[in-house]
Amino acid sequence: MFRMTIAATMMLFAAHSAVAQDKIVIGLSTPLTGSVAALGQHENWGASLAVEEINDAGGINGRQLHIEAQDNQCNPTQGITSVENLLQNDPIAVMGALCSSVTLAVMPIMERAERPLMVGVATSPLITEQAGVGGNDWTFRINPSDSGLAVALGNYLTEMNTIKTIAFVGEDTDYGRGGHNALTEALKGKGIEIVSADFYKQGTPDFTTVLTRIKAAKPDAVALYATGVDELGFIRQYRGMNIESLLSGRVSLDELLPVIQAGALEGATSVYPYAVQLDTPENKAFVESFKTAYGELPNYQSFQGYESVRVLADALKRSKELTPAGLKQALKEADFASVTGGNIKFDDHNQAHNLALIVKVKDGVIVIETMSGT
Amino acid sequence: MEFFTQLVINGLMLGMVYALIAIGLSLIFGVLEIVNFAHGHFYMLGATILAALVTSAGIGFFPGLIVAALAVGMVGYIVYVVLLRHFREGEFDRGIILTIGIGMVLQNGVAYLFGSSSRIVDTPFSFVSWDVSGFFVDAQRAIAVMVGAVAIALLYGVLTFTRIGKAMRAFAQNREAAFIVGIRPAVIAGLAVAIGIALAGLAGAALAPVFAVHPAMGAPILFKVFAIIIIGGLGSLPGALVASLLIGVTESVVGGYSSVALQDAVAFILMIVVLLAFPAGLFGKGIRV
Amino acid sequence: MSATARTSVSPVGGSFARLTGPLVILSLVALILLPSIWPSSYVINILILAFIFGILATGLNLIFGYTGLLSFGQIGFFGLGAYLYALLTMDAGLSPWFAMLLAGVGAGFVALLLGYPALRVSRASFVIVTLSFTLLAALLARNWVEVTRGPMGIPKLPAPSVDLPGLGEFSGHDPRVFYFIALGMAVVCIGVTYLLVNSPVGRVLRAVNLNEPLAASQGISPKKYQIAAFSIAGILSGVAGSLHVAHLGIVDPSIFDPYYSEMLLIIVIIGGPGSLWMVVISSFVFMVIPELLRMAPELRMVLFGFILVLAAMLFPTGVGGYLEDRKVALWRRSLRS
Repeated sequence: MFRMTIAATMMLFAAHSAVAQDKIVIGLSTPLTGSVAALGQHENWGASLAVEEINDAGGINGRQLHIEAQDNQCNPTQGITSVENLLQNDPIAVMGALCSSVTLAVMPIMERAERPLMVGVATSPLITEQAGVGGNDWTFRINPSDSGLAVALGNYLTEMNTIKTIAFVGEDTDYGRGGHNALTEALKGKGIEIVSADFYKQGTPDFTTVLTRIKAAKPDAVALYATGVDELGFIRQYRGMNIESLLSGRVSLDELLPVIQAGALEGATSVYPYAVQLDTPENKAFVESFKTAYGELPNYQSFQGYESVRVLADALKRSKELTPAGLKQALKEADFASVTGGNIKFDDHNQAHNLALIVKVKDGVIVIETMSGT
Repeated sequence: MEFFTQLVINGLMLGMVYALIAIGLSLIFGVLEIVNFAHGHFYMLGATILAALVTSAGIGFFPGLIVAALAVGMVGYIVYVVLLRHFREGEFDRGIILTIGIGMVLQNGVAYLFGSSSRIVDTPFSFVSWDVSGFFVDAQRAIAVMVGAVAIALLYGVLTFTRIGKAMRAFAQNREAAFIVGIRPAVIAGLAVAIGIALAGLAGAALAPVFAVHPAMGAPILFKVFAIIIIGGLGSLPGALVASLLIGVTESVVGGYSSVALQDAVAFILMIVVLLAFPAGLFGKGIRV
Repeated sequence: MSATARTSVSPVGGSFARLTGPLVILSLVALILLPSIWPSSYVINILILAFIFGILATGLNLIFGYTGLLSFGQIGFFGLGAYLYALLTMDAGLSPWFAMLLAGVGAGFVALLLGYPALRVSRASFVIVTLSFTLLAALLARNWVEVTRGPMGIPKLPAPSVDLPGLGEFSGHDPRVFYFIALGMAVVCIGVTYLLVNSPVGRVLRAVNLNEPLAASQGISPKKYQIAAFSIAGILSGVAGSLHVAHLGIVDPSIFDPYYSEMLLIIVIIGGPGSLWMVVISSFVFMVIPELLRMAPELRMVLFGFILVLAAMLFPTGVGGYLEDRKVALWRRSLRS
């Protein structure tokens, strides 16, 4: 039995060294199974689409890109194993890891392996804090920070002048908790008060109780920080209960199109780093080819997967030598035109500052109200 | 007071949903002494089938309900014939391991075949609500509650008035005695498993338009229902009903006056308290080993 | 009673038993030499996980295989140990080794407190109460933000280091050093369990498992022994948890992932409840199999489900149980001829 184990491990090892040498490998560690598998799936789709497009256009100086995705189940243990596995194939960089805790666990490994880690979705401020001059020079992040988004939302809500009280509802992950901290900070001194904060467990089907409480308390707005299935469930029940408070927060309105087209959520105002409706040629092309390839609209995760690969490819084309160190140097000098129309430039914490969009539902359609830097 | 009453109404409605799942689970435990860890995944299967029928096949909500419940019950019967039937009495751990395995196959199989994205089911009752003397009642949810009430009433009728139902109860109370009066245990047990699992499927189907449908939806509700059947007393059907309503109302009231986090913990805390005060549960049949 | 009851005394001290000692020592030597022969950090990482899960699985084996109580609380104690380690090193400023010790003791103590209500009624309620404990612990980790930092987790955890006189200090942050720390902890934990199950106490546990009323009639108090075994299993899980997060460098509520509970159960069921060494081997096998199945992550979990179904149907006593049965069959045949 034990000999079998060793034989199996050796086989595994052998299988991995067989990947073609001439391709440039980019690793992707993201959840492909478990409760947030749908989000990881989208990130993988976006990344694969970008790789396909870049290869069709001639690759990186004639060499083809290859994306290798590994499941991390949104769990640090699996995260470390998946990245160790990816490192077997000599990737030039690794993208991931969608979840903050996994990203934080993976950062030291990438630092030890001396290869860039490209973060596109994970929201924890600790990642930026530790990156660049924070100590870990191999971690780069392109998604805007929680506070950047919260400040944009806070400013907009203040200008609306009708919002004085907000009830906060978020998932009990770094996304919800981090969003709450950032929004509380951003609203300080603006005359808007967060009157209640509820954090529910991911996968909670029923929001009746908290909605009943909100309906009775009648806050001016509800700030929702939820993802995927929970967001959809919450919005449906929110609509079902005819709550009059304005829906706000970090809501991916794109994924609620059927509800919005049915005339609900009129006036809902959300801050988001991406929207399908963005009126740039790059985004229109992206949305179109994504729909053709996967039969669904892209979302925030697919956009970030797509963008991460493009930022990496841009840096690879500019880098003097095709090594991780060369790539890192090129990333530091990046000045890349994002699909959003914003710019990807990394600061001394290796954090890029893409746009924050204020997205609003007006007459049953989603419109981008304002864009601001983060 | 108005707020409190609204919370109680919400809680009772939630409790009826729990009851539909808990009664099926308790029925299976009563007859086979197996804790069905796949029960939540059968609930998911019911919801998934209904979503497919209504959104893809264009079948109406009510016929869809019946088809989904029957289909899930059929799967349950096959599980009994192929797998559970071979277990001897007292092989309690084996039953748990087996049903955990079945649950993993169901959840991940559905995810593999249909993807992990969530599906939405819209019916003519979606987003319709009623104002019942000043209180808010969601129509779709009220329909789920009525479906649950009808199913539970039917089950009560079957167990009380039909020969096979009486046999089922006799079997749950005393296996040896059931043998003596000439009831074929395999038929009784198979039927009980099929009914129990069909109820879970029915609950899933009835709730599909209320909640988002996705492969992982079974686990959270299963854990809560476990706590409920412990509180009600393992194997006791009236216990399952009362405990479901109790937990539904308690959760709603606690959540209404405090936080969502505490609402999630209520069922488990109550379970520990009940175990310390009434070890066999509120309606327990006494101590089993 | 329980399907997992193994015969308490082997009918033969046959070839299997005589070979166990040399095989264990041989494997240990191989594991000590391995990092220098095969210095892949990927392989080292998987083996570290195998050591940690070896401890965890031995804990579940003790409570389920020897005592016959199916516990879903082990992942709860695993996470509790992990959080105790994190809080004691980061907030209380204790040394990693001392924190690891206290993590084990703390988890064992909570097991002692939980064991009483959990064992009051039946094996069925024991299963559900221990499961609920794990769910509650996860809920607490996510929501008691002031202490646990909630879902943000506690990153940058220290790792224990080894100070060898004359050779200098070796930091556990180096995976090659941590490999030996984990191996050493696994040897100690599994070794202690081996001594325990082969002591008079171990025989009492098996007797209680085989026939609780009979054991009680012999003046043995079953509950006391069951709670003691549950508590020791809690210590093992707590130590495994602290070791695990020292390796990861971060603890967050995903330490309570139900995936671990499922993995742990598969390891013990396939290895054979009540077969100490087979479960240890099984931990290695099931840390490697998911890696082999990385090509098809969605199908992996379906396959694991089928493995459990097949195991429950065909060999509920696992590989260890199968070997034991073969041994008994051989013994019978030798008596006949």
